[in-house]
Amino acid sequence: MKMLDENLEFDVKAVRKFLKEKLVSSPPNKHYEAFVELLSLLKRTVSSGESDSALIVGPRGCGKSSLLDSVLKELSNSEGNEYLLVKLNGLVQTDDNLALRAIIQQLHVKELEGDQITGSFSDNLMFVLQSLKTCDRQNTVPIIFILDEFQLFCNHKNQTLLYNLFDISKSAQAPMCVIGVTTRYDITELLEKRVSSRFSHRQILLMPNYDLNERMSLISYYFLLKKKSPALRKVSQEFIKKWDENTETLLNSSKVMGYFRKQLDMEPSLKALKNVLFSLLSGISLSNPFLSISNFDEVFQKYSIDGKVEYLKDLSALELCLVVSMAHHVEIYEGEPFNFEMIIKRYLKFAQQNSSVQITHRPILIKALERIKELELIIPVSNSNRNQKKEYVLYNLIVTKSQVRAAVSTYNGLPTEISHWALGNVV
Amino acid sequence: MENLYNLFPCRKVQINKIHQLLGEEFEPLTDVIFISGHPAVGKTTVIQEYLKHYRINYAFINCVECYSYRLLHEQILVQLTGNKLKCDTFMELIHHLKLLVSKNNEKFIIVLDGAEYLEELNANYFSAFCRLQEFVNCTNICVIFLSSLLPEKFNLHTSVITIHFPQYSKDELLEILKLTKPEDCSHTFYENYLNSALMIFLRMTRDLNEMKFLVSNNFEKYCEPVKKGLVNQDDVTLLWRNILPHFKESLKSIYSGLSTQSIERYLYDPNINEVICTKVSSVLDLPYYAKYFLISAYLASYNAPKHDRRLFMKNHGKQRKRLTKQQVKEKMTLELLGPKAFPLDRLLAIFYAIMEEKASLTVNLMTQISTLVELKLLTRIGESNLERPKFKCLVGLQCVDTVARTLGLNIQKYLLD
Amino acid sequence: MDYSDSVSKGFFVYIPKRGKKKEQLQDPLSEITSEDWYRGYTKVWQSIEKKLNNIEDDAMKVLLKDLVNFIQKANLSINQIPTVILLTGVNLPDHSVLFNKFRDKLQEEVTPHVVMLSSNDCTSIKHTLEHITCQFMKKSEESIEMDIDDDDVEVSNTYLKKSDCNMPSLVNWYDNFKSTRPRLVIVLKDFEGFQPAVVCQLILILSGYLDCLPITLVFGVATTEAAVGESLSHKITSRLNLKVFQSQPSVYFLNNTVDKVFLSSACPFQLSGKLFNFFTSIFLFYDFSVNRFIHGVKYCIMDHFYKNKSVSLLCQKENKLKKNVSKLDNDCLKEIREIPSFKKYIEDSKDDKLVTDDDYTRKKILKLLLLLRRTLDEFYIGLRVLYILVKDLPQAPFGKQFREVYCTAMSKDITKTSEFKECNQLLKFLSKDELESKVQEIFNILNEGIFSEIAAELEKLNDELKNIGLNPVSNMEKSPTKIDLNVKNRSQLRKKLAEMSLKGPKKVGYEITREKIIDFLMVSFLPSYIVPYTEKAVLWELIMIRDKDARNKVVPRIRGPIHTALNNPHHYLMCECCKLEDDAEIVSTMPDICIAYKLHLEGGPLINLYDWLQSFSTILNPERSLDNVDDIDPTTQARFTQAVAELEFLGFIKSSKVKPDHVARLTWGTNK
Repeated sequence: MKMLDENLEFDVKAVRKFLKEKLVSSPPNKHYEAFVELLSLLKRTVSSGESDSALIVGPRGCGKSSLLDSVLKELSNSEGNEYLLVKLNGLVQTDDNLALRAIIQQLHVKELEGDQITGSFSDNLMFVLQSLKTCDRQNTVPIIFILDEFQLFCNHKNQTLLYNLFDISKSAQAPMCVIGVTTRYDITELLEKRVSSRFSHRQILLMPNYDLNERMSLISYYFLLKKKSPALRKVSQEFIKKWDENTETLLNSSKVMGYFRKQLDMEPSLKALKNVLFSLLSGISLSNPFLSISNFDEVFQKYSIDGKVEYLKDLSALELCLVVSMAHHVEIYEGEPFNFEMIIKRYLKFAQQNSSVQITHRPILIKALERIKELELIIPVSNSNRNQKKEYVLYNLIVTKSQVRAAVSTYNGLPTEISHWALGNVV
Repeated sequence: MENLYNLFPCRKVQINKIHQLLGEEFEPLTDVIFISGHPAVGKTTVIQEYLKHYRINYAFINCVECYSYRLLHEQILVQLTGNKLKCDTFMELIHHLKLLVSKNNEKFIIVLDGAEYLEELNANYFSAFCRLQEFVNCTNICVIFLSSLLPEKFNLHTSVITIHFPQYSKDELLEILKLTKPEDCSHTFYENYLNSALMIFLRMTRDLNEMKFLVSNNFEKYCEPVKKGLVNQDDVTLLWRNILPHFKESLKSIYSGLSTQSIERYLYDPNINEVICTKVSSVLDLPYYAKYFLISAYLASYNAPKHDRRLFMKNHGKQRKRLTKQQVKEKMTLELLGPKAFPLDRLLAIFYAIMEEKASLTVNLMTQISTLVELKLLTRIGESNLERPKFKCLVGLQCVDTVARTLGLNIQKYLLD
Repeated sequence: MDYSDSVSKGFFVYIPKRGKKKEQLQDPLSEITSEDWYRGYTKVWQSIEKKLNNIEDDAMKVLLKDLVNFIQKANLSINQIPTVILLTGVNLPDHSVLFNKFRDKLQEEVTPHVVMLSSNDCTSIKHTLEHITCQFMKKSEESIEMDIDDDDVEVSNTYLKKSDCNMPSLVNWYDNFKSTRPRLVIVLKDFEGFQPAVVCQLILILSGYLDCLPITLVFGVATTEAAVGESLSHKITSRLNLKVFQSQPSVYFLNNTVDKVFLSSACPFQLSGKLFNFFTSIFLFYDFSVNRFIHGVKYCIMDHFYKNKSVSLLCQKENKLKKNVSKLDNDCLKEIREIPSFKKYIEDSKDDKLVTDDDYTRKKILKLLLLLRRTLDEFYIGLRVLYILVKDLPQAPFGKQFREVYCTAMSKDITKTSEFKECNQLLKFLSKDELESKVQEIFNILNEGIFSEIAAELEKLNDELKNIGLNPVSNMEKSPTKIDLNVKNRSQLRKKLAEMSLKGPKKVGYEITREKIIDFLMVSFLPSYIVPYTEKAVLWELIMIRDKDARNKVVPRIRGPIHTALNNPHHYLMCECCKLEDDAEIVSTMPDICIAYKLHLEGGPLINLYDWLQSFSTILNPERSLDNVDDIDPTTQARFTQAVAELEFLGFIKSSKVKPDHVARLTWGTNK
């Protein structure tokens, strides 16, 4: 038995590790037209030396990066010609100077590995421009620039980097292709006029895929071990077979498909899916070697609970009463903002009618309201509150009436008079 | 693992979840974990103890103190590598981290506590840290955000794995508080005490720190009758009756952090050569004119200007009957919307009206007003107008009433009631 | 790159790094400090100051001791920062003394690492942390000037980089003290002045470092402890372990100080009732500041000594009088003879030798001064006796404080007032215990020498009182005796009964003694001594300070003096060149700002700057021909611009938004 246990443990760990590593990689690309378009664009730059620019636009998690990855992979496999790749990201290169340093580093990666580039902005710019401009078509290697989070580059001062890159790509000195990746559909409005005129205005639009079958096939890609891989050599075949069977049955069950449908409706991004799959994989252990329906229940619980309701349930009884007063106020006055005084008055009216151990001491009520404010369940209407007395600052409630009701009905140990007051009709 | 369960008796589920995500050797880590929950619910302590227990290399940053980029980055690097490195920008941070992961194969965790303060530094930092694994190109690095706000409030731009630390229920609180038992009493005795305390205080607050404070403050008084020999240890009802008034006292000072024991007023009288310790709460003690100014400011803030003439002038004629509806509506909005701003001349006019003696308008008199502003009893509205400053009164009716009583002035007479 | 001519020119000041120390400049006040009156004043003031310091120390002693004890023993838990809320009271000018004493005591007894923060320096969390870390890590006791533009901060001889002033480097620095682990105390001197957001962030940050740095916080709160609760949210206060300390209200300190230092015969000078009243009313009505009170008195003393030389010699302690009297020269004696009370004395005694013979005069002066001292002693002792008797009477006819009794006594003859009679009557209702304790107190005072006979008499009465206590019953045992009426008819009976009722009820033994004691004290003893000595003593003007102008000097008006200064600089500068015959005259030797001011007074609500400049330059150079009006000397223009800027700073003008190149006048009317 012990041998079996050890073997099992080894199997479980190996499979889990393999699957997790697989999750990290990009999924196969599904945007075929975009793939063809982008590939031809890059091929033209690399083989024929034509300079061009394009923008890939699409919401988060719809597959832009995976599209790029697959295009680049295809390019490196098929093309015999050399080309250089420079990848920039708006979150990391927050400044044009940093972007230039990154460019220089990536272009000269062989000589300067490990060192950092210093130098002022103008020096770097001059260097880069010179090295790009003084080359001619025949003798230079084409460069592909990929600018991730393109919209952040538009916030740089004067959009210098963008201007220069597009300028060079337009003036056809060195063969280069500038590909921007962004989530904003209105990205061209963010570009300055002179930058926009040098841009080719080629946009590749991607849409997320809401097809459940596509998604299920993606999940099978990630979870099933059918394809033979060298990492799984040592794992017993029996285990692999059992794993695949188990997983397939689960994935075909209506409950699980229902879960994934729900997730697809709420968060269609790839990252959300990966997170769920990762959590599922983390639930695998020696005592639990195969996926089971309880794993799915646990992980998908996140989509059935409301974070705000959970927060409301974590409040103390007094604080919940105050939130209920706020909800009532909002209902009576149709969404007008309130301040602490009004809520205290309403709460005191309730407390006087129900005399059993209600707290009416004013400083405590104010502190409790402050705690609610710190949890950001209420938000001040304007930011200029320096001169206002604390009790008179106006707030808006960002929890809805139904959320409050849900919290009240599921609260553990709430005194009945409070729940009656909360769930009953507003006076 | 058992140690952790014992240290944090009611956090077994959460510890397990964390262990599942972080605990395995040689397996990729997820890029971001977001831990949310009310304050004082154990997020920081659990994570730190877990990471220390499993000897994982981690950097713990309290985002409150990162008022500059350099502090944040350098702290991360110092805690992860042990070397003091210069790091001004995010790009340099990535660079150093890349070097670090290339040398070591172990796990690196960056814990950002109080993640809501990161927004003040740079709103994009959330998304930047969420993609840290991608930038550093290594799956051994993970970022954990700790915050008492909901994750949906952060513009993370991606979906993250969240762990919610729920607030303790009554039984859980009891379990945890049992751990704080002092040595010289029995378990049942302490449990009875905790039950009584929780019954009173649970409605008010479920905050663990506050509970600990309340429980430790009142325990002595609870034990008193037993120590004096008046009551038997097991007689719960008598003990309850004894402690109830003390609990009610504590209720009043809840959340203020001050118990009656922490207020020591040293009224030292050298003639008598002894110290008189009283526990009466202090009253605002101001010089004579300052008191009048405070009262005038309150009246100016809470009375509408059109009623000034009737209230403060001595020889005003009878007021004509008005529709009462208007007055009621006025009263509600005035009370509930707070103090209004008033210009300096109105303040001086009311001041002279309620004072019986005459005071000449010297510098000393005017500085009383600015002293009140400095003491945050009044506030100055609008910085630009040097000649016609406007003020607002920040004190409540109770305080002003007490001050007026010391002067022998009945403030109700002047209020629009 | 080719260099082009820049469009604008600028001058930049480059401050070289501070090299050698500057030479010590000569003390500009040295000519005054060498004068006689100053020396006399200094002697007197130094002794007063010593006494004041002692009293202050005593008063604060217990509070500071407990504070320091608490800080030393405060529980160092990892969860909460031990915090002291020190309720300092509204007397803001006195706080610096308190905090300095506090810091000195802390540094002596607990730890050398104390940082004082004031709200002016801490406008943002960055500055606050920089200040804290910088002050902890400095190596010498010099205070540090942090210049925002400099990157380096000079700290004695080593430089502390501003970039190093953060919490992690503080932790590194603290590692040096691993063995002793002294506490780090951070004091926020004026808590209300700090922005709540900054304090909240500071506390959150510090509570994160509690495991490596044992920090203690002290909040100086001027109003009440509720101010702390209001500005800090619960999340923050749950990280603090709060304890509140409160000292006596400042009225108490004033009474203490005044009673012990100024209102006693040991003080070389005396304050007149009016002056004393004036200072006390400033205290009570305005600012509760003992420091201001003392400074006011100090000014009046200085003024008093400045008036005439004889004062500086004669207004001293008793033991120095003999020596100083011999130093009186002819001028002094002439001055003294002019003093009204001495003049009257000379006239009354008809002693010619006092006018002619200097030596004889000196001896007489000495005798009179010693007599004055004696009178003062008696006065004060009498006053204190009265105070003991009346201080806790219901409705306090003379007030509850000694200083109030003093004020009344100095202004009129207190024994003739109606309150005195009222007190007399109220005293006759005293209970035995109270009377005994009062008599005991009086006894203690009287035993100090002068009044030994009175003391003896009182002792006799006291013994009688005590004896009553021993056999109280004896008087009661007397059975009512028959009174022989001896009347013939009804009308005589009525008359006799009326007579007997007038006699009053037969007094019990205690009541008799009580009445005896009270009468002895109030009627026979006190009235002769507590008359204001200004009526009977001679040479009292030398020691009594009754500056009538004190009101203007201590609580000055603002606009009047400024207007005088600008209009008529000669009044203050006393330079020969600016003597004006007529108020409206403008002389070119006056300071620029005065010329500009006087010119602007002639203008209307809006003043054209160019015209103003023209008139200004005309006054400065009257010979300049009016042809080339546009040609204004740059120096004159520079002087004019500076004068206008100064006037704007003072608040007399403001640049007008209505018309360009104009300024608006902000003040009206000419205050004299």
